[in-house]
Amino acid sequence: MMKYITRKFVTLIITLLLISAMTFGAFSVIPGDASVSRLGTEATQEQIEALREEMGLNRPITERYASWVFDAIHGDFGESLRYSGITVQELLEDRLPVTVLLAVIALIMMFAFSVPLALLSVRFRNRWQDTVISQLVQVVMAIPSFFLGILLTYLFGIALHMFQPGKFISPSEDFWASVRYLIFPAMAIALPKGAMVIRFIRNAVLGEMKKEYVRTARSKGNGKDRILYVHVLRNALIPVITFGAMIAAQVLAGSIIVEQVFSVPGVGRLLVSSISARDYPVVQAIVIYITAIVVIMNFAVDVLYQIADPRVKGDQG
Amino acid sequence: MMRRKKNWNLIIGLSITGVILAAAILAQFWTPYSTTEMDSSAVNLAPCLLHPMGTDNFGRDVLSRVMNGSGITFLTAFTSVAIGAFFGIILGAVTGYYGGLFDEVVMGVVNMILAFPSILLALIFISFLGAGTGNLIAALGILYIPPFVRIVRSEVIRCRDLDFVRSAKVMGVKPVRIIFSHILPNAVISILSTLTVTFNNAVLSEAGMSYLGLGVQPPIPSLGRMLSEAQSYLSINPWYGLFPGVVIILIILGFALINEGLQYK
Repeated sequence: MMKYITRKFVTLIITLLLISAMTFGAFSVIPGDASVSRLGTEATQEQIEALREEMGLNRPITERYASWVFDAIHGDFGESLRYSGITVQELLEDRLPVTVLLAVIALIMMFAFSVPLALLSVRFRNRWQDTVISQLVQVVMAIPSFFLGILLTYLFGIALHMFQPGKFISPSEDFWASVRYLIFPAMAIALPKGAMVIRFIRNAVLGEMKKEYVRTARSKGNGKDRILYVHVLRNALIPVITFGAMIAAQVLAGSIIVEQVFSVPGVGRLLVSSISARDYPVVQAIVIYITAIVVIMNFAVDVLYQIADPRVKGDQG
Repeated sequence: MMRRKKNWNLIIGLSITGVILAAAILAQFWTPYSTTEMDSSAVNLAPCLLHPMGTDNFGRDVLSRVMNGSGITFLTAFTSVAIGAFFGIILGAVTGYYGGLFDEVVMGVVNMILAFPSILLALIFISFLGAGTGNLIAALGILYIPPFVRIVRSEVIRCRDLDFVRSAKVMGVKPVRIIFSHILPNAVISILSTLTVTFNNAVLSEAGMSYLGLGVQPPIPSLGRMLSEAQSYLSINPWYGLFPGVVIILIILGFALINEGLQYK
């Protein structure tokens, strides 16, 4: 087991290095490097050379990458090109908690409605309750989160005045006011993803129900509910954990677009505006952050998986 | 089985997709109004007889733009999925059939890419390549290779040691022919299903990226872009924010139902 975890951990590090090297390389070959975008196109050749020297851009790329990795590990991602004098770290410090809060609220909401509905669907499988839930799931899954966001803005913001679209209050200012605002963007993320979760849990549990041990348990006189809650759910949990990590990554990705809809000043909004402004140090730092979160989450799932299902042996991974 | 129940999922899915596709193709030759012509006397209209979906903030007819925009959405999604399927099927067949170190390297990359939500990777690609329809197609095309590699590879591995493949090998049939005319026909349903799923992802990504202003660029109408414009006029003209979104939902729902229908036995 330790060997398995070590191996997965090495893969994690390799993935992070690979992604960071790829983004670093890609941003280095883009025409018009950082010195030009800071000085503007009017700058003379000497000015550019001087700034390149100062920023260390004249060194070979491998050397620059190595020093970037070294700084990044110490939490230093350099300075933003757009807001001169402000470090990337400072920009992220304000925005990261907002995005994390949004993602957490969305995840809580998602599980709060999807797990009970999935179990209801399983409990009444092939009856009308199941049919209604399944058809709703099908339709809700087709709604893009940003469109749902616009619908919610109209319904709760403009028609019902339950929040003021665009007037976000930062969590450091007033935590609960912030949460109240974030409920609506979180809903826009949680509904479509929750629909996916309902369908996945339903299929996983129904697949499990077809197995031999269920019939054995039934023939031993166990009630249907007991089999569902004691035997089946425990086994169906394993694929659900894996799926959970994927969904968590999707919730994070969903927040990038939904932050735009509700003008929530989070990491997603910063990423989109930095891409448009070609502020590469910021883009690079966010890419690495998100990659790290996704990769670490997958690592955690691999470990959980190992604990939940002892049959998964190290050498299979 | 004496009587099969009608495959309603497939029927409804095909009809929805058929209607929207027909409207999108029609829009290449004819739309009720020009998609770019502005009419300052008919700004932000609610749906009426002359403009069934109303008009936008410049007085452009929303129906015409939605028809044209769904064409762009279909085109982007089809092209990127075609790129992904073409390279994915070849790579999946080769890695599955031969295995070895190449297989391990490819699968390592494939699993890495699949761990990320595609909209995120599309954003990363666009940040190198710059915004635009062509770049978006290229980015999505690359991102849609892995799902096809995975599904084809597993199918090839499943069939590789079955009797009919072995006997073909003994008879001296060339590997290319074994893969394409003996093994892959068994994978048609799973490939079709992957096609519909990736197609929907592509529709979502195109709409999302265009909404963010990083996909299809104006003046070309795009459903996602229209939604982002509509958002500023939501309190005056909520209809403008409704129709492009509903069309996106219908496109996705159509393909999702087709996919359900394909699984139906």
